[in-house]
Amino acid sequence: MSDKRERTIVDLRMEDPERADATIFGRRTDVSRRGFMNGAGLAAMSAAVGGTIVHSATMPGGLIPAALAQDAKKAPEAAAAQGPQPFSFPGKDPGLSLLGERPLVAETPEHLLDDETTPLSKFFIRNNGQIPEKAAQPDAWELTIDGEVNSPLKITLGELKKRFATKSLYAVLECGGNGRSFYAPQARGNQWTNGGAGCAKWTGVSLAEVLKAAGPKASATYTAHYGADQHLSGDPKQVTLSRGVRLPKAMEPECLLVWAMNDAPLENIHGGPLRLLIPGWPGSVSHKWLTRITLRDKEHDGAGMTGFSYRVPINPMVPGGKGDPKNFKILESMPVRGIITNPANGTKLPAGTREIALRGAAWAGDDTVKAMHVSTDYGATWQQVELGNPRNKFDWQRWTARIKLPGDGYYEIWARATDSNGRMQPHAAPNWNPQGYGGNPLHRIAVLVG
Amino acid sequence: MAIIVGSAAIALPATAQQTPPAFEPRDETPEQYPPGPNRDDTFYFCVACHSFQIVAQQRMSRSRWDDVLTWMTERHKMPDVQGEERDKILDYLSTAFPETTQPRGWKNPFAPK
Ligand code: HEC
Repeated sequence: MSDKRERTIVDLRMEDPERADATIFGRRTDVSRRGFMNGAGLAAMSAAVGGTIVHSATMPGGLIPAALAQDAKKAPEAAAAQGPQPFSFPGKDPGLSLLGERPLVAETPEHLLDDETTPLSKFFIRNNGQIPEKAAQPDAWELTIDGEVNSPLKITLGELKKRFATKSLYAVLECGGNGRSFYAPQARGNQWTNGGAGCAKWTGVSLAEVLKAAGPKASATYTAHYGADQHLSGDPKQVTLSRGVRLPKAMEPECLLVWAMNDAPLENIHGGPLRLLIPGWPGSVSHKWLTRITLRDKEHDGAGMTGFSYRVPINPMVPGGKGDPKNFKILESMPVRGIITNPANGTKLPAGTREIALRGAAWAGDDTVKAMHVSTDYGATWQQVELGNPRNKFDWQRWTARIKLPGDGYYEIWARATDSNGRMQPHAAPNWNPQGYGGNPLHRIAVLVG
Repeated sequence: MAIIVGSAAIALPATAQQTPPAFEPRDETPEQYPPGPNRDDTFYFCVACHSFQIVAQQRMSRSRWDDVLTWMTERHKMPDVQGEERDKILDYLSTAFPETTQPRGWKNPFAPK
């Protein structure tokens, strides 16, 4: 092992016996993407989707029909003999799509986001490290506020509940990488479709009130958050994730220290007994198992703040290129996104069906959604839908529509949201970046009539 | 390249705890992934920290796979592999999980070679 050039991978692993001894866990992937059909003509495509592609004239070249994309997603890897293994976690819907088991990551297919408030069973799961053990005494959980403050605070969850006014709101929590799978070429990281998001009722106390109790100094400009989840390598010196936000964002009245979700104590898997909620921004700033918030006099440089992590290009870069870290800025407000939650992609409808009732949701980070449109002819014509109001700031907006179909066959339904600044969802994932942040192309589903 | 024999079978969790873990990932084996030279060694090297699922989700060019290894070392303290060993890992990853492109149709004229 003395000569570096002669060392094998095995030797390298043995340098750190604890790491090398890590149990080999996991299972085969069920999220393989086999790429595009080679030179498929329309006839072949129609055969493959099992029906006439009705608006084929306006179907953009280079786009695979949504039904095929769905099949491609299900296609097994060459070597994987067994079928996809179901997702199984206590209290969670088996319909969630498993992206990885270590760390545990699962997303909610769009059609399972059909509830006005996402129930716990359907709420997506994102972990960056090991899942801590469930706290035996939640009220004894300790939170520290320190750094650029006049009187550092060490407070238990029990004291937080007593000392500060309880507050609840409906808010979307969305993974920063939501929509990543839509990038071409593929961007690095968990291949989320649109389901790294959900809207729950969150209950806790105002983060601003707690920070004020510690007396932020005039020098405080940025927060740094820390949680109790251990790094995947098992090395206690490694930080799993430590992100933060500009202080004015943290002081918004909707930012909460949360201990309840949908009127039940916050589950361990969602960061209980205590987590942050910084609505509208990438979920990674809403730290789970929150133990400490440090106020800083400059931008935070913790794990997940630098390089290409949770950052987007300032000037657009060549897709698939290396990227210059100096050309990147932190992703703050999440981009506008609308989804169809009913019918589900791949729904078969009886012959003669000429009208479909659609339902969906839309949200736009710090902003609201101004309009929602749907198209059944690949975007050639659009129809505006009935869009509801948010129950409070950062809630999603539910929408409904009835669409007419001219005959039997294969249809794609496209849905496109427009935010309060007039920005629409693009047709393709925009502003490519190595880790795929900001992927918010319009949502496509396919239905088959007859 | 040396072959690991049975290390998965005799291994213990890195952080053995008294209470059962919150979630028990299922066993994973190299055979679940596309066959090819250096598959098993690549598999066992990467799964020291996480499931191979996260690796197999990706489709990247060799140079972007190379960036991933650098990133794993810089950010997550993966042992630094260089020279022949690195080539072998990159051979497997870029063959088993290559960047997917459309043979015809719209193409990025600036795509890195
Ligand atoms: C020392 C521990 C360690 C080893 C060994 C390791 N990784 Fe990782 N890797 C991590 C951690 C931690 C993450 C982040 C997990 C998360 O946040 O979901 C990660 C994430 C990834 C990701 C997702 C990238 C992203 O941007 O989220 C890829 C791809 C990856 N690893 C590839 C590899 C490959 C290939 C190997 C083997 C050659 C490897 N890793 C070995 C620790 C490691």
